[in-house]
Amino acid sequence: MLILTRKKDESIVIGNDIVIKVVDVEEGRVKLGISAPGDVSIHRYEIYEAIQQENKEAAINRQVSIKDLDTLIKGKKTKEQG
Amino acid sequence: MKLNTRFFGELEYEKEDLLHFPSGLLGFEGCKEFIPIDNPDGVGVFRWLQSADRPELAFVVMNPFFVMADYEFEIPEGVVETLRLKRPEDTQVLAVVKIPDDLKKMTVNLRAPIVINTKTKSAVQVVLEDEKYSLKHPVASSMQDAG
Repeated sequence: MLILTRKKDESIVIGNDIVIKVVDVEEGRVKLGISAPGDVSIHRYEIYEAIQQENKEAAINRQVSIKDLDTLIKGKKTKEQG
Repeated sequence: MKLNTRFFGELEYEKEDLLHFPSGLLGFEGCKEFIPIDNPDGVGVFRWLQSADRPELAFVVMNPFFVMADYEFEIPEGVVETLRLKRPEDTQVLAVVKIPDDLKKMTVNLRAPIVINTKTKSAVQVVLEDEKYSLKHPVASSMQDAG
C-alpha cells in the first residue's frame, strides 16, 4: 500500500481524473473531497463491504419455491386488507 | 441457448433475455450476465436471477415497492450514464432478497437496489448513500405485526 502524508487543503491525484483533497482534519477525523468521473462509484468502505456480504448471504443455497414466497405475500395482502 | 443450472436444471434462454451487469453484483464482480426467471404461476412480485457465468449461483429478487409503497431514491448520475437511461418508463427496480431457513424471516436489501434499463437490458446494483433504507428490511413484517 502506498502511504502519503498530506496536510489540510492538499490533494492527491489518481490516474488522470480522480482527485482526493483533504478538506479538514480534526480530532481523529479526516474530511475528504473527491472529484471523479460520473461512472466511478465512490462509497464508504464499510457499506460497500456490508453489501458484498449481504449479496453473498443472499445467493440461494437450496431450491426456493416462488410459490411459497407468494403464499407469504398473499397472506400479507389478505391481512392488510382485512 | 442452454445452461445446466444447479437449482433449475437445464435452462433454456434467449440471448436477448440476458441482463448485463457491467460491474457485476457487489461480491460477485465477475458475474456480469444474469438470466431473469419468472414463475409462470407467480403473482409477479418475486423472480429469480440465475447467473449465466456460474451455474450454481442464483438469487431471488423482488419488486421493492411491494414492501414499501413509497420507496424512492435518486438514481446517481453515473448510473444513468452507464445504463444510458433516457426515460423513466424504461427503468425497472429490483431488490435482492435473502432467504433464511425460516421463510417468514426473509429480508430484502433496500439499500442496494438493482436498476435496470429494460430497453438495453443493462443493470447496475446501486449503493444508496442515504441511510434511511435497510440492507435487511423484513419482507413479511407487516404480516407478522398483523398476526
